[in-house]
Amino acid sequence: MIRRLVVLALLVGGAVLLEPLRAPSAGVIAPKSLFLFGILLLTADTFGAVAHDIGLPRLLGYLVAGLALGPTLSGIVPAGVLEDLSMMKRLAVGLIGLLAGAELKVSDLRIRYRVILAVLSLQGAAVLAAVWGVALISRDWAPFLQGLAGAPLVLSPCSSRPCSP
Amino acid sequence: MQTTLAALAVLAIGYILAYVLFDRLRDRYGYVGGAEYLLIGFILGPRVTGLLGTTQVQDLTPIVSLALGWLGMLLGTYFRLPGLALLPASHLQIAFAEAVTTFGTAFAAMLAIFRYVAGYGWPDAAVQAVALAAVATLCSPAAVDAFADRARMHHRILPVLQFTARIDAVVAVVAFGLVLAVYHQGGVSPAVRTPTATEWAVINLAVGVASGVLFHLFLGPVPRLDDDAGDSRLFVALAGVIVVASGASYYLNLSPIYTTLVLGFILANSGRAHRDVARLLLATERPVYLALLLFAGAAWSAGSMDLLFIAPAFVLVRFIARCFGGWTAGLHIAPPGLSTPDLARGLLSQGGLAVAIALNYSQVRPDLNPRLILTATLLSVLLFEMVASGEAAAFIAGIGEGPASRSSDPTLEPGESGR
Repeated sequence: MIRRLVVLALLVGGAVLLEPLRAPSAGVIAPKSLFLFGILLLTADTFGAVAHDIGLPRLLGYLVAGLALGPTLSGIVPAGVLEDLSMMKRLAVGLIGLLAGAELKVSDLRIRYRVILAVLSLQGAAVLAAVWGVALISRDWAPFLQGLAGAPLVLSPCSSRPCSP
Repeated sequence: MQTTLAALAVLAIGYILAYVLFDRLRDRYGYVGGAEYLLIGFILGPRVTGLLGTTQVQDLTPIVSLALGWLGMLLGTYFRLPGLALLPASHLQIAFAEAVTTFGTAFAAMLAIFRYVAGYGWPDAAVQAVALAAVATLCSPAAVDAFADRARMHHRILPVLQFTARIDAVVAVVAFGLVLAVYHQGGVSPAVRTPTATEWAVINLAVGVASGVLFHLFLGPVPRLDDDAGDSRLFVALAGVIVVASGASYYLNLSPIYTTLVLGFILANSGRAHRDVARLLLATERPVYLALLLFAGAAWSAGSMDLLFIAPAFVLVRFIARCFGGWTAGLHIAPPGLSTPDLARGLLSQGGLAVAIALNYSQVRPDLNPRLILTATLLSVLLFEMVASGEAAAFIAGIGEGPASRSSDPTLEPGESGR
């Protein structure tokens, strides 16, 4: 772990050393963003391993890595770079969807469609009811829920503010 | 969002075509593929259907840098010193003689064309000539491998052919990387002095070496990773280091292929994870190559018509340089048991790195005929991939059953074809 952190620190140091060797430039993805994306990946891998070692999901480690390097804490990855990397984010989400779709087997779905439908319906109804109930109860204490009626609260999560694209 | 969709479309098409068509065509007909993916890319691109618009093609440039780094690293991992030490000296002599002769011939011819016919100054002529000479030197023994596999043939010359293709690639990538560093394009911050040509070359090498050493330390003394979870973790780390090294080169306007070649070489010769690294890279080689071809097809445009004659001239130069290199190495350098005047016939196919070098050139030197270099490379890929399978079949028929190799190429890992 310490070895990996030292390597990551050296990479960040390398990034600082290389910075003046190019005049500032902009693009859809600025060249610097690609380099920082690599450091993010390696940091995420390290933190994911640490999380795994202490019995937590790797995903939690990835989130902590993003928080540690992001603009909120260290600022090593500034907000501009995160905007540049939004394409990677969409690409990753798209790939996850693509691969998840590729793993679906219609024959399996046909065999188990009743169970799947039942689980989905129950799960959906339970979550909806729970969220609705909690939101209604906590309406007076949560400023962003104030002024909402019961039905719009359930039907439209974006009804209080414009939906982000 | 359009760019993401475009990237996904290119990746999905590359992946599907690689696994549905590529393997079958190669196994049945020795056809190594390439031309059809370029055409599909061209059809998807802004000049025909516009599914991939000009903006989307430009937006995907960083992804292409990653793909270039991926291929460069794969090439570097082939060169394990313990394996190389076991090679017969004759293999090394043949490979280096063929590579240097082919590169030298192509470079001299292209330098003369750019300097005396096109009228460029020496530096500009040299940069373009080195880029095209590198493309001319690159080759793939995939077609010969396919025919040899079908015929279950084990001739002593086949490992030599595979090794020669790798040395060709190293010579081409190193020459290309060095010329981009020596004739570096792009400004630096006003706070620092502009590095000299030598300093740029050293910086380029240092980025590769530093990335390799740091990644070696990052992986640490890990055991072999045989399970899926281990593979996934290694893949993330591998992607991270390739992104770092390629991103640094892209940032400095240098060649990511050269940088990651050095990185791959260091990893191949250090640590215990080299087999897993090489296996993972090899598993993703074809989709990456095909995605590059699709992107190159989409990005292609003819450019200046005045200089378009250089593209067919380059194809002719490559053919002559290839034949001369093969003749010199196969007839004059090779020992009697390996002697063949037709070595070049087995190495006509262009292979994926040629397209990678042309795309890299387009990124780094957009001021110096990038469209011409890409056009010449794509024309070469189209024409040579068409004739490669026929020539490979003739080469196999020419060498006959011959003496079987006592040992296969020790630089090859199990299951590798040498592509």
